[in-house]
Amino acid sequence: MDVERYYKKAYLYLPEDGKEREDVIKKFKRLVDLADEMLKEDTEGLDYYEITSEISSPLREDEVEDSIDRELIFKNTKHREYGYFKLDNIMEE
Amino acid sequence: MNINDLQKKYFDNEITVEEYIKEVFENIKNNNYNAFITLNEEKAIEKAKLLDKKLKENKKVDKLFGIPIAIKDNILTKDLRTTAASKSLKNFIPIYDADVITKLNETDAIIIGKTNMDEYAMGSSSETSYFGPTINPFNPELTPGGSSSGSAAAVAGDESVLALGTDTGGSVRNPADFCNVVGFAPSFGAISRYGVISMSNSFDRVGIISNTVDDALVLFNIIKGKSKNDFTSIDVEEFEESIDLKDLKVAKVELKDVYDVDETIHKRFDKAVQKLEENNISVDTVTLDHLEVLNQVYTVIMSIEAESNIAKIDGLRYGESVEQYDTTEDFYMRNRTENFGEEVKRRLALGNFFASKDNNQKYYKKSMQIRNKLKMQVEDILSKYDIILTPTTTALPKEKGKSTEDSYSSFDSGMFNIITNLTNLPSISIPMNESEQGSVQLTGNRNQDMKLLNIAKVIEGILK
Repeated sequence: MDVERYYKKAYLYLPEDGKEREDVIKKFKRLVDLADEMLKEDTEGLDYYEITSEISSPLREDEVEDSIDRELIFKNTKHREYGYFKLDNIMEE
Repeated sequence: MNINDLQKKYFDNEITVEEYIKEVFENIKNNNYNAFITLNEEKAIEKAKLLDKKLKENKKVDKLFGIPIAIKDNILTKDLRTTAASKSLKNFIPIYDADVITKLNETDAIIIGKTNMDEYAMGSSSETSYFGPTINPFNPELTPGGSSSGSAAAVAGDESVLALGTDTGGSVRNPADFCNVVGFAPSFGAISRYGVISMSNSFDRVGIISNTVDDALVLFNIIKGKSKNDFTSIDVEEFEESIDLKDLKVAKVELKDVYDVDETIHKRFDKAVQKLEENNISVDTVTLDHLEVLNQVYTVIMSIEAESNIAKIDGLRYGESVEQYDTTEDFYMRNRTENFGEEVKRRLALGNFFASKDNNQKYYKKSMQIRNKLKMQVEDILSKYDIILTPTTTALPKEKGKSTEDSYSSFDSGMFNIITNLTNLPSISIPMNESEQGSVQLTGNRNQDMKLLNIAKVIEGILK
């Protein structure tokens, strides 16, 4: 199993150090191995659980309200320019 | 300390609110349990003074008058740092209050501070916290459980009377059990989650930690209810009947060998059941399918949901960020790699694996089938019985530092807790004995939280 692939998909680097990297992979695989045990359970014919089956989400009234103050939105970021979140490079090769 | 005893002292002029709240902060500093990440000392003392004035002027006071309350650090508090015990949010100051904080601020309760926890609520020992582990006041050599470790330690260590935690797979009940206090995880949606940092949104709920069931009931009555900000929130049923022991029907889950329940817990649980039977409560034994793989079912669903929820912590929209990076992708990856702990990173990567089309989502599909079957089975049992009884955890707390060696140790004692989160039901954990670790967990019907709490009060009385 290519553990690094799943770390990368989660926007995470695996440790570069050999021993540390090995340990992280070992701990990841331990949980996958346990999940494999679960796959042996007989569930043939069973329905899937539906998360939203008990929930209704009516649309709110279409009323104009004040939005959150721009200054508050940017209070917790260091990356700001011209009222937007800023990154050095957006368009890359 | 409990609400009644403390308020009696206030009303009898034995102590002022200001004096007591200052005593609480002294305890926090002297105990060194590391139960808090951020204190709210100045504002708490300011409010205490206002409450003393209110009492002196004979103005109307409410049920939380002068009661200190500790808040888990994944619940947003406007202008008061909220870190989720993560390096990634170590400087995060929320711009609004969670619904539950808005409700508390309308009462005479006093917010003491933000409690330590496992990072992003991922863990069951407090050892994944960026701010260091919490000490268990009941036994400092053992872990306090988690993830709401600071909330449980604060109540157990006289650093607060009440505390809020969050419970995704036992995170209120596990530390309550390990610190020997009461932990209540209400029905899914019974307390609004607006302003609570999501971990696993089909499991998460806000819960209560207290010294008595009565205290949990008082707080729950104030913070429960539907909110326009949280479309999953609900109003639970009221319950005003008295509990007649001989009419109470209890279903006890059979503790099969394969569940690997610690021998001491098994014995203490049997003794607790015996006490109930001696008090004319009828207890039948029931079985549930797939219990031995429930931790895995939880791990799969939780990881997938957590991966999606924590995606926004990228160092741009939220979270700490690096100064040097090569590309946009590198920017996000460095921010997350450098500012998340090992446990969080593992769960996020697992979420990607379990949801991946590489394996045709077989783990997720299997988990959702087992979840559905469990829900139907449990609902069937609760159509015949008032509550389901189990031990809260299957193991006693580990020694400090032992939880990080095995990646499964975050999940290995929570099998009975998970039933609650997989089925949307309410559960409460009550110590079986004041002087020994080990608690019973009572699970009731969905939306019948008030009935469950009233039954729990009776059972707490019997066990004491």
